[in-house]
Amino acid sequence: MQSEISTDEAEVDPSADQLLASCAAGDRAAFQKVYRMFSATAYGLALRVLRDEELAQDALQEAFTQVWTEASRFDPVRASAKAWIMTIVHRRAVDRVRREEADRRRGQVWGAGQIETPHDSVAEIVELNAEHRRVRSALAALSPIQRQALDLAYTRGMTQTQIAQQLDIPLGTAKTRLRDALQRLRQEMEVTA
Amino acid sequence: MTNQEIDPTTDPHDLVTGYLLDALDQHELQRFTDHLGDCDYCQQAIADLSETVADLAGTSRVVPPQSVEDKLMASLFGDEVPAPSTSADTTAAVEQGESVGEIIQLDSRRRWVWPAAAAAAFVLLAGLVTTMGLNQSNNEAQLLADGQAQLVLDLAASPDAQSMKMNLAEGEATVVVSAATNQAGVLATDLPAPPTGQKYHVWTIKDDGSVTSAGSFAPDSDGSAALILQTQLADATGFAVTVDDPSLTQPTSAPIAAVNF
Repeated sequence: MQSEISTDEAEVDPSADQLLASCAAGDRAAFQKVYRMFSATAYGLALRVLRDEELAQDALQEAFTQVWTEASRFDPVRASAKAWIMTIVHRRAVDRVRREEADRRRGQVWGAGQIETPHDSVAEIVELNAEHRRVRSALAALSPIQRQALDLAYTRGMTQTQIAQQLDIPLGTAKTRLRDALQRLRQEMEVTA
Repeated sequence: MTNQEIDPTTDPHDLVTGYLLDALDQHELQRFTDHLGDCDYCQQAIADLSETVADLAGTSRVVPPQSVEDKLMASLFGDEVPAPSTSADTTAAVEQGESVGEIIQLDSRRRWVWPAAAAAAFVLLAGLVTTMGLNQSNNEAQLLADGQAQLVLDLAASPDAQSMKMNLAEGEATVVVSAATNQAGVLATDLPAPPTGQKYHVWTIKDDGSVTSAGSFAPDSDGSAALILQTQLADATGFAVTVDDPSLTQPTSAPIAAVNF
């Protein structure tokens, strides 16, 4: 996998790997460094999912608490430090958005058509960022329905079952659409890497 | 919330994408994690695709308020906050100092008295601070036709770089500050063109309240602009932007945006 990561990132990651190893050994300064290295990406992700600063900050704190307590589980062979950390952040944010969604919906009936069609926020976030532009152009290569499915899952925190209901498609179709979207995205990212 | 019956005959292998995207409900997640330990195929699929998912995360960097780091460190380590692992004191000063996003406190000693109408312009980023990209590929770097933009992006890649978003009525501007390199820059997008003969003028606000010009810029046809600021950071407390004659040495109009650090 390392060969697919851009050169810049490959230069960053070994030290991030070492820092996580130091965290596992109880090095607090290393943890602070890891936090400063990844907190902006993590917070940006949490904000995208949660759309609320306070909730996103809570999720960020929870996620980095988990990074500290579970640093020994990081395996640089299996994932980059960034991927490992962002997986934790995303899961925390999605857990939270689902709790909030459940609270908000309490008393309502979940069903297709009751939720306004979300805009394509994965693709719409604009930033003057070369890495982001690479992701954007890869996202642009997806079909609109693939992008929509990816957005509902990754940014909206919906389950595959919810996506199927929202889009009024069979669950199997939703799964296939997400799988194809992610595969296509990977291919596109490799082309532009 | 799910009213789906769990179908035990569903092939757990096709839950791998949902797992990667956190799009499984609790029952599916349990079923998949039970399966994952014994399945080389799914482990390989996760290894192959997890970096792609991580790329999705990297599309929006927003620097969280310092209070999050403080709370995190206090909750994990008690009051004993670890010393910054970078040695530069200036780095620590920026990172541990006043939180960005505060409303600038106007000191009566300051010589530049801001017009009352400008006060709203000071209400900055309620914690929303954006950093620019750190990982440009070479191809992308070539796309940055403006050398200033590349310089600012390089600056943003400094380990101690702090970026602060400015609130503008139209467009977006981000100030990047690196105490270690004593450099600052500004990147802006979607700016409206200034009136003829005028430019966007950036001013350094010093700790004694005085103001000096840090340079001026005009956006390109897309409204994008980048500028390395001519400034000394040591005694700077913030930056302000006006739209005025670039030859001015003191501002004559209210700032359209300001940032304090």
